Amino acid sequence: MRWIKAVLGILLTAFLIILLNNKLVSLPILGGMVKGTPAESLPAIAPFLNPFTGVWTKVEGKTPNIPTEIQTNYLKDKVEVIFDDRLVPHIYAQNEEDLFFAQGYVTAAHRLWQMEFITIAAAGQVASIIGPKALDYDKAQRRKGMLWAAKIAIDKYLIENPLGKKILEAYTAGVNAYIEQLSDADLPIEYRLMGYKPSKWTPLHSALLLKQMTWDLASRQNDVPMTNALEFFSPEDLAFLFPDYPQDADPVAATTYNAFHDFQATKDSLEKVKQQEEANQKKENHKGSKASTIPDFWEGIIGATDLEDDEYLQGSNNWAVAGSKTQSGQPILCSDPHLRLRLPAIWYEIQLNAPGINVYGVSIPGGPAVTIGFNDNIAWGVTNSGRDVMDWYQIRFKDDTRQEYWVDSTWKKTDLHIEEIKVKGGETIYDTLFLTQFGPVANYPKGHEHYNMARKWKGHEPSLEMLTFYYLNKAQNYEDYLNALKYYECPAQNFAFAAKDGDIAIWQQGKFPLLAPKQGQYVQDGTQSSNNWQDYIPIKDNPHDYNPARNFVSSANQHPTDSLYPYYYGGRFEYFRNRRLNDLLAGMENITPDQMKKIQTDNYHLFAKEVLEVILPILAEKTDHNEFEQAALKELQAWDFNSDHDKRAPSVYKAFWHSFYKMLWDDLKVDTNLVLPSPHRYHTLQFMKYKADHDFMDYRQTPEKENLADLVKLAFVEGMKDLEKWEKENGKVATWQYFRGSTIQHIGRIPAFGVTDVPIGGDQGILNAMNGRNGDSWRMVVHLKKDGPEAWGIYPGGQSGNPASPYYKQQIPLWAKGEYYPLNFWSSPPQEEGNTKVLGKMIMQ
Amino acid sequence: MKKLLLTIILTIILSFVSEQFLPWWIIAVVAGLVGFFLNMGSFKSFVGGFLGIFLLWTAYLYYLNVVVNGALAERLAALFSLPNSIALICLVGIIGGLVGGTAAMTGSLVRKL
Repeated sequence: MRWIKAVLGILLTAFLIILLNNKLVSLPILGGMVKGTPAESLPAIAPFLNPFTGVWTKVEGKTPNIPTEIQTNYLKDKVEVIFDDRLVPHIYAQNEEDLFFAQGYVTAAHRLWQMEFITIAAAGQVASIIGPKALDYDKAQRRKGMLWAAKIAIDKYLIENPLGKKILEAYTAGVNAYIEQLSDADLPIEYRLMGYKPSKWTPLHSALLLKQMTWDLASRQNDVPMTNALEFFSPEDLAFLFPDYPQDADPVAATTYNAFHDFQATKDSLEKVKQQEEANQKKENHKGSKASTIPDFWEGIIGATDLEDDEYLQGSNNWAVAGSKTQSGQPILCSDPHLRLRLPAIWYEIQLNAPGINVYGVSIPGGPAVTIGFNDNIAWGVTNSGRDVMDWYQIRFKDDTRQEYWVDSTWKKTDLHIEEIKVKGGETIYDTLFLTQFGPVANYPKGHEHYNMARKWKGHEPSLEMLTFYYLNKAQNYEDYLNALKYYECPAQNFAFAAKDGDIAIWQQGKFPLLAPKQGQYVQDGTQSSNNWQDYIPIKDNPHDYNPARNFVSSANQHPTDSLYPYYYGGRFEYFRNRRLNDLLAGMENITPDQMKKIQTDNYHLFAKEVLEVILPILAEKTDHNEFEQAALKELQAWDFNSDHDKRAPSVYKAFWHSFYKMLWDDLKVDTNLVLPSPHRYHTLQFMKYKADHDFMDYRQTPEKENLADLVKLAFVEGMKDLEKWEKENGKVATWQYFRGSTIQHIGRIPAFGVTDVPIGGDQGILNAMNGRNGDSWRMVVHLKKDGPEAWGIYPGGQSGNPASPYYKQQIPLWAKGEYYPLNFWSSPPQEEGNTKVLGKMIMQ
Repeated sequence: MKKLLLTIILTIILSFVSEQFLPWWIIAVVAGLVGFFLNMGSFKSFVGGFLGIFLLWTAYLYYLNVVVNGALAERLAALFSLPNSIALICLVGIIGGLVGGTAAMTGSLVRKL
């Protein structure tokens, strides 16, 4: 009996330990039971949760969990890193290799999981960490050509450019020095949750990060829906709803181009694309008729679903005001890039100091140098250009093996590139990338493989953007800035610039294809090599302003130029933030930095104001409002157009607009197989103003024929029903913050590591751009005073990527309130003792 | 009663020390040995081992998450759908306690052979 008891006791103890020491899913019997449930992804319980070696080792207090002394063979000299009271590292090195090594090291110390995870996602290697369920995602990434293009780009850095090689290798060595000393107890929480370990960092990882950024910012195109639109809309409607140059463009470059310098050269370049232009003319002539004369190359596309259904939400503001408009007489520069907000935060704040360089700003975790920032002499900021640099070509393959394709009346061999996709707990999968002279074939999505569309994308070409940032970090004046921009090709940005010596400027920088009018708007024939991009617009002809008469430069993703610019370009542009920004700046004198901060957090909803000018008179005429509608209308009438977080009027407006837009364009959704472009809300507003009796105004669900006034009334009733329903279901007043939503998601989509219900106003098309998920990812104001820059900044997150650190989301509350931190720009290591701004120090040698 | 108290105190001290450099399951070895040498009844041994580990783990977690920084406990509680961080800390304590308790009980049972 005693024996049995003792043996049972031993067995019970062993059973408990095995149960708690392993992932449930890996155990016999139990593993089968949890498969397919949320418990499947649970980590092994005791190793994960025990107090002494589990995740709790990542709990950090106010003092950074970073070694105070590091010994490494890599460094040539001593490096000093001071962490300030927000955990911003200030690195003081004796040479640039040491500087970028230290940047790699401290960035990894705070953001290792994030940097690596983004590269895994960009490359299409997610299945290697989470298994077969990510296989479709990985294949799609590979067919976008992300990994293939990143490899080509990195070869260019490492083989052709000694400077690029030096910087990247130093940064890489720094990241790896951190990874090598990382013990299991220090492993970031996400690695432990998801059950994998960091691999060695390589320059390819940095290139992948840039490719991902390029994808996020420069993959916008609408070729398939626009091609379908040729069939659907009358030529008149098409021109009205999708114009090349709308009237309120209020472009980035205020200079008009009628006196365009060196115009003959421009004309010569344009000669080259004349052939394409004629082809497009032919296409336009077919508009509105499904006649048999339509070239058969695109007929197969009618009925295809959208290839990429990315909503265009990325935007940004930046501007600089000249000394003649400021109180101090010195320029002020502001920059607030709007991106999908994430935790750990998109940006990592840093100061880099070595002989010849002293720069402060935000960097992309995983890439060297500062991306948006300032130094002793200059400041710069970026916004996205929004120009279309991705075109589609329909390829005619000889057969299903796709080994040969028809071009210029001969069969040409396809280049085959084999992609190896590793799968956790499964066999490695091989996928083929079919490369044509136009680009890789994206035979995707499922069910439409036979379309065989080749993707021509500027992002596939190798370029050296990192050097632009390196040279900007060291730039001292306008000449240096111009020199830095030379290296920048994609994703094209508007680089706002201001210098202590008084210069202000803006250049839309990128390498843009030289296009015939409308080229790239529609899917093109891939059996003619002349349809391919033939050349690029000369860099000197890129849109720009240098010390313009209006004494400020600005950009907010609007059209880069007016219609006199001699080159054709397409894209998706902003029509509200730019006008609001320029109106405010034009009316200001004696500007102070505080006034600039107010503009960055401005909640004025210009779009709503212009829509309400049309609809309020109509709604006032309506006599049969119910009580809820009557109150809502009163609220709209009294609204000051500021979309503040605690107001309800913006929600009333949004509920109306949402219904109205859907009901107005219901005609475009009748044939669910035919994907049509959605008219921009700016063009929709123009349509309301000038086409009140157009057939599109009719709502198909009613027997009557509606005009604008009828539709507005109907949409208001529908919208208010939605709003009332929302308030009932949520049990609270639909103030803007809740109705719009305001979430900052964790990069790995672990809900507990994200933040919801951030009390912040704003929306898409408002200078304070928070639309629920996208918003101001960094706000920076730099006053370039004669005795050195004075700067403020804040971002929605915190320096530490560790969810167990007080610095993980530290800045979010003040960011939501529209407040700023003064930035500590220290030209030499500050006194530590008794300095409340210094949190810790690390010596590397 | 004295023996029970001694069991708890010994389990706490020896586990705390060994957990600094050994994997988490060393608590089973520690509690088992304490149960073996103190030689109480099997139920009392279980209670002693359970309380020893439960107190050590919850107290340490309380220190980390209340005194140092509570952000992680809150986020993990949300991750495991628990009402708050105290519930999570107690749950972890109970998990450790069960291992400590069964190990101590087993120790006493082996001693009786």
